[in-house]
Amino acid sequence: MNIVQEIFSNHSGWENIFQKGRVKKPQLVLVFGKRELVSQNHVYDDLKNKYPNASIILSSTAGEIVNSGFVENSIVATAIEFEHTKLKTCEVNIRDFNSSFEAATQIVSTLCQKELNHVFIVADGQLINGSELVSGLNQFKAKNVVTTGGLAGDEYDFNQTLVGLNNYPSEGNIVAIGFYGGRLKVGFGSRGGWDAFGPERMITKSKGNVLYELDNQNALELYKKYLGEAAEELPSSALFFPLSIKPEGTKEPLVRTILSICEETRSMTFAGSMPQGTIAQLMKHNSDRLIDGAEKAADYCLSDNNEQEPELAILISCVGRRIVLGQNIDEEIEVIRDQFGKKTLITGFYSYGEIAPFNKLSKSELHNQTMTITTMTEI
Amino acid sequence: MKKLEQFPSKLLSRQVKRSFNQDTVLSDDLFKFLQMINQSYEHYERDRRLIERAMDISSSELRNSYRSLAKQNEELELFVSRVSHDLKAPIRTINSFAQLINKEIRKPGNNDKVLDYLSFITSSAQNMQLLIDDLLFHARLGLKLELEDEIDLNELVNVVKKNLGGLIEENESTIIVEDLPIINGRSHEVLQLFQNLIGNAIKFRKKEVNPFVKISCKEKELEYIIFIEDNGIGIKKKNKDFVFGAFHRLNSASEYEGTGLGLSICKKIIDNIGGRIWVESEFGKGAIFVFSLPKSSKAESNIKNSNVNINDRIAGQINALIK
Repeated sequence: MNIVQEIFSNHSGWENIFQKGRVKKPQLVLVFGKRELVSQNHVYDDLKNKYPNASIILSSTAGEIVNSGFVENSIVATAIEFEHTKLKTCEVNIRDFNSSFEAATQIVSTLCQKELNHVFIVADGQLINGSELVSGLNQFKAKNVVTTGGLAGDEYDFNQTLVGLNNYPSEGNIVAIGFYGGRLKVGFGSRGGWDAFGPERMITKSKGNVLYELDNQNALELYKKYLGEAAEELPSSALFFPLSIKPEGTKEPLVRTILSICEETRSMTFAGSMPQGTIAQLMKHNSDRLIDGAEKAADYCLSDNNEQEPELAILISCVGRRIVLGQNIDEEIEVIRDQFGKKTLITGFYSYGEIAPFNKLSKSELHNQTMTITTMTEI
Repeated sequence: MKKLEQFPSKLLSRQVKRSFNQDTVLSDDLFKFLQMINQSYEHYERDRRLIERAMDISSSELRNSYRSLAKQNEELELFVSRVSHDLKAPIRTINSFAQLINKEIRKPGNNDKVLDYLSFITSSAQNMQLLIDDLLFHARLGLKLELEDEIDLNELVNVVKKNLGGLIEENESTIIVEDLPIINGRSHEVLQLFQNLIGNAIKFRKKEVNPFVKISCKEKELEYIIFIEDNGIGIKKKNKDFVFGAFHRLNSASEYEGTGLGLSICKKIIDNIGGRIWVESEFGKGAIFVFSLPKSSKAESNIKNSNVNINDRIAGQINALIK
C-alpha cells in the first residue's frame, strides 16, 4: 500500500506532508475538510487532475486529523494506492429514497459481490437518520463483512454537511466504498471513555430520537435533578452529560448525545434513536478517561490485527469529544499514534456520528461521543 | 515567574499556603503543574457531587417505593379479603349442589334433578372463571413499566363491538359512535376500559326498553373528555362514590351478572393513564360514564416545530459553550 497525504489551506495552498512509497495510480483519495473550503470547486478539480483514475471521496468535517495530529480550517487529502485490493464505490442521495434504511439497502445491493471484505461509509451528518442507515447496512450477509465510517460534520455549526464521490460535494449524499479481496486486513475499534453513573432506567416514552419519559417519570425533570447546579447551564451543559442506552440484544451500551432540550414539550432530542423499552443511564466525562477511551479503541484495532502495525488508520472522532477535550484534543490522537507506531499513516475527521461494531461478534452501530478507528493493512 | 497569590485555586489554596511562604515565587512550570493538579481536583470534586446527588435521588426513590409498597400491601390485604369472600360464594354453591347430586344419584328413576344441579355447578364454575380472569387483569394493571402505543379509538370501539357482539345482539342494542380521537395508551388496557363501560351500559338495562348507547368526545386544550351514555337503570346518588371500588355491587348478582371488578378495573386503567373518571346519573334515567384522557399528543404535535429549530438550537448550545 502506497500513500501520500497532502494538506490544503487558503494561506499556503496544497502541501505534501507525508509520503509512503511512490504513489503512481491511487485508486482512492479521502478528502476531509472544513465545509467552506472543501466545497470550493477547485478542490475536487485539482485532485481530479492529479489523480484521474482514483475514486475521490470528499466530506465536510468538524475538524481534521492528519498524520501529525489535529488540524482545523484545512483540507486533508490522502491518496491510497492498493497493491492487492480492488475497490468499488457507490453514492446514493437520501432525497431519492423514502428512508435512510432504503438508501442503505440500495448500497448493499450495489456492493454485495464476491470477495467483499469491508465497507467504509461517509454520509451526510444532518439529513440522514444514522441509526436507520446503519441498520440498513447491517443487511450485508457475507461473513466478516464489517461496515465502519462516520457522518460528515460542519464545525460546531450543525448547519449543512457535504459529501461527494467523484464530484463536488453536496447535501444528502451517502458514499460507500467496498474493499474486495482477502489480502486486505481491516481492523476496527470504537470506544468512548464516558462513565455511566446513577441507576439504570427504562425508556417508557419516546418517539424516534425524542425522549419523554424514563421509568414513567418526565425525563427532562429527572435529568435536571441529576445535573444539580450544572442544570442552570443547560442547554450547553447537556453536551457533557450524554445518556448511554442498551438496545435489546446488545450487551455494550451506546452513547447518545443530547442535541437539544425543549422546555415547552418537556422533551430531550438525541443524536440517534432512543427506542422505548431500552435501558438508559446517565453519563459523565473526564478528559483523561476520554483519552483512555481513544487508546482502548486503538488497542482493539491491534488485537483485531494480530498486533501488527497497520499501514493506514482512519480516525473518526465525535465533535462532542473535540468540545470536551478542548486544548487537549491532540492527546487523543497522540495516544493512538503511540499504540500504532510510526509506520502507520493517520487520517480522519471530527464527525456528527461514528459507525462501527462494538466488537468482532456484534453488528455495526451508530455511535456518538466515541473515537472510532478503521485500520487497513495489505498482506 | 508568578507570585503565590496569583494561584487561582480556591480548592487547593490551603494546601498551597501550607507548602510555600507568602512571598514564594513560582516558576512557570510549577505554576502550570499546580494548575493541572487543581483542574483534576475540581473534576473529582464535580464527580463526587454528581455521584452523591445520584445516591440521594436513589435513596429518596427507595423511601417513596417503600411507602407506596406499604400502602399497596394494605390495599392488597383488603382486596384479598374481598376476593376470598367472593370466591367462597360459588364454591359454596358447587359444594351444596355436589352433595345434593350425591344424594340424588342413589335414587332410582330419572336424573332431571341431577341435570339441574349440574347446571348450577357449571354456572358457578363459570362465574369463578370470570372472577379469576378479572382478578388476573386487575393484578397485571399494577405492572407499571409497560409501553404505550398510539391508539385510534374509533378502530378500538369497532373491536369492542365485535367482542361484545353476542351481548349487543341478544339485547337488541343500538350503539352510536361519534368521531373519536387518537390517543396514547396501552392498547389492551384501553380496550378493556371501553369493553367494561360499553358492556355495563348494555347489561344494566331497563327490562322494557332496548339499550341505547352513545359514545362521544369533547376536545379540550389539555385532554379529551369521553362520554359513554346509556338509557339503562341509572345509579342512585348515594352510590355514585362507591361504584368504582372493587366488589361494590350495587345490584344483586343474580339479577345482573358480573364480578364486581369491572368499574374498579376501569378506574385503575384511567389512573394509570393520568386521567379522571366519574359518573353522571339519576336513578331510573340512564347513566353517563365520563372520563378524561390527557393529550400527551400535545407534546408530540410540537415535535415537528421543535425539529425545525433544532439546528439553530444546537449551534446556540455549542456557541454558548465555547464562549
